[in-house]
Amino acid sequence: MAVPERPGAESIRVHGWWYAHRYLILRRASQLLVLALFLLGPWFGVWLVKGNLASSLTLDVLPLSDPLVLLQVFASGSVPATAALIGGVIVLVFYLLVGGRVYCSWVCPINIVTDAAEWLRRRLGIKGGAHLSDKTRYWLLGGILLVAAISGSVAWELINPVSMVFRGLVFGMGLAWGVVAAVFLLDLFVGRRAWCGHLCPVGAFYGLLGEGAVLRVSAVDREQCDDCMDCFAVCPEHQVIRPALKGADKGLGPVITSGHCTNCGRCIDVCGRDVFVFTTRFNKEPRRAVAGANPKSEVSS
Amino acid sequence: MTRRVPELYRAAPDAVVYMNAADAEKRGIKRGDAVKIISRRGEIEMRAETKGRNKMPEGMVFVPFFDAGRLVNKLVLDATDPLSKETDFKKTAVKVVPA
Amino acid sequence: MSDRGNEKSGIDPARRRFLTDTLRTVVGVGLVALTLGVYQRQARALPATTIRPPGAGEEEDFQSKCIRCGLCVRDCPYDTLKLAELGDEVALGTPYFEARSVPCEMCDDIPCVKACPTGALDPALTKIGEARMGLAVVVDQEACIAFQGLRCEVCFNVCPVRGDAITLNYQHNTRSGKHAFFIPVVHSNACTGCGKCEKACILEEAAIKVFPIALAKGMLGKHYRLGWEQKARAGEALVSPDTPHEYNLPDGMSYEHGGRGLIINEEAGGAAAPAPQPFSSNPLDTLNRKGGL
Repeated sequence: MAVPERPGAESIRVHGWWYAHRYLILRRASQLLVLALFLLGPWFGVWLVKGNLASSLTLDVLPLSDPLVLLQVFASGSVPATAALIGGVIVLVFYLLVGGRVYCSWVCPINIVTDAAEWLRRRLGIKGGAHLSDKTRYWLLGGILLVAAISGSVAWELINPVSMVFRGLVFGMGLAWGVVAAVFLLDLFVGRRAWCGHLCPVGAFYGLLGEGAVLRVSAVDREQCDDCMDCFAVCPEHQVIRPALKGADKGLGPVITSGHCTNCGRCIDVCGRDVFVFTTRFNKEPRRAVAGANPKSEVSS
Repeated sequence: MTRRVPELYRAAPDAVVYMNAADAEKRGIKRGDAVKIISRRGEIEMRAETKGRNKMPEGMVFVPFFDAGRLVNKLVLDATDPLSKETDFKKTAVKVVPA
Repeated sequence: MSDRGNEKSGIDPARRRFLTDTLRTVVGVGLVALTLGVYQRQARALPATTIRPPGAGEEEDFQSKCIRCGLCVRDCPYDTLKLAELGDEVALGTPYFEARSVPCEMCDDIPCVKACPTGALDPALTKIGEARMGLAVVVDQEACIAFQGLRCEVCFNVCPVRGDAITLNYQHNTRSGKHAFFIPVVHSNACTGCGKCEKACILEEAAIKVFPIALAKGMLGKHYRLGWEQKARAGEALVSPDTPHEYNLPDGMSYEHGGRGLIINEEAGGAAAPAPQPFSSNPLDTLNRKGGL
């Protein structure tokens, strides 16, 4: 089964271009909206949101803080003040519900960079690259917490590309464009999804948060799948699809339960047969209620 | 008008209005806030200073005239004394309000 | 790959691969962590010209608590604070200011400290006069024009804690023989390190600069006891009782040390006529006097 060069062609034919890119467009809009909210202040003097993703204050009342940064503060031996803790809990609860890696696909500015690298990589037909274990991110997550504990300083934030780029866009980039270029080139040449899918400890942390999340993508109509491989081609964490899509024989439910799923919805976009849908983890029905009389049939391959 | 001597410019780059801290508080002005100084003849804007070297008595404010960007002469009377032709640039009644 | 070939080595190939992969990852991540550790130690060295916002405390503690959110920067009404960008010498993303460009204006309500969500800027700091961002030091006495005998006093005059943090120490100008030096002296018990003096110093390169306190401050050995302080505390000399010094003076004269100086006792009739004064109390006498002054 070859990975298609231009995934989603069938979906575009069936649904039209806009519908076949609806979640991608929504995601880009969400990423840019978050950035725009932070930029309204410095650019136009409209202070709806102050700060950056590490910690912010919305409308002078709502504090939001990045739980991973707070975890690093704890690891480095300090206790953050109440405002940051309240903000951290709010964010934590939000991502526990909608899926931790929603941060990666709907908020993080680096996602645009790595998606662009992945798109170019596919168009240029660049294959292979360094073998990186996708467990590396957990080791890195442990590593940065260990360094924080030993050094007594929030050391990872000195080099964290994710916070660096967002802070750079809001407060001033300095040489951070170099880091953006580095992540882009890493994903383009060193390995497919090398940063977001293998290395990024921020994603690893949010992935752990997302293990029990309520909002899920489900392959409800998995018997409709014609193995076109489009979803595998676009999925940033394609290992999460197989158990849900092809697990009927093993008695696995259609809901994608892995915390690595970023809830980006791109699989829903590119599927010409409407196999996937956003639902909750409790919805274990293998097919859509509205799918009509579609008797459960054997998956032919 | 000065601001032509680099040393002096460094020491006092902008004209500020010196006022008593109690006066400022009564008008809801914090040190460093932009304020409007209004007389019957005109108004100018500058920052308020309640600390520093000129400690003003209550009811009086002081504005230096070195700063060509903030013309305090807009506030004062330009009539001259009929005998000596002396101008009346030294004092005038003003209101100070937050800008 | 043949299973049989690997059976000889006694290790299952899948297991071997898992072990080598894990080892590779661990070594790689270890190297990254080590580099990060070394880098963060260097990032703790704050350049001497950069100053942390009020309430920041020791650099080590600050870098453990600051999450680089920039809320202090946003609430600074004077745009004094900025966040370190990649390539700056300050730890990435942390707030600082440079006194020579924009000093701290010492707002009474300290908005930067109020904005800090983590307490990296100590919320216990409620009086800006108690802030210790750094300490001003007259670093170049050769360049400072006060030491040349010129009147300047700009640092003294712009100081927000005027008269306490910087005082003027009058010294005799031996070059001219008849003027005074107005020497600026910084007092660490009142200086907040706001940097207004450094900003206003009229030299092309400031002669008074604000440094981190650890750099600026000396410390006397703890075993030192200053005799006069001990004596004042005890109310008397600790070693032997003070004996009044006796001056060997002509009759009718006495000397008051640290007070009036030489006293000519008129009652004793020693020197009945007062010593001639250089100037009469009547200015006309001076004007009508013959010869030079």
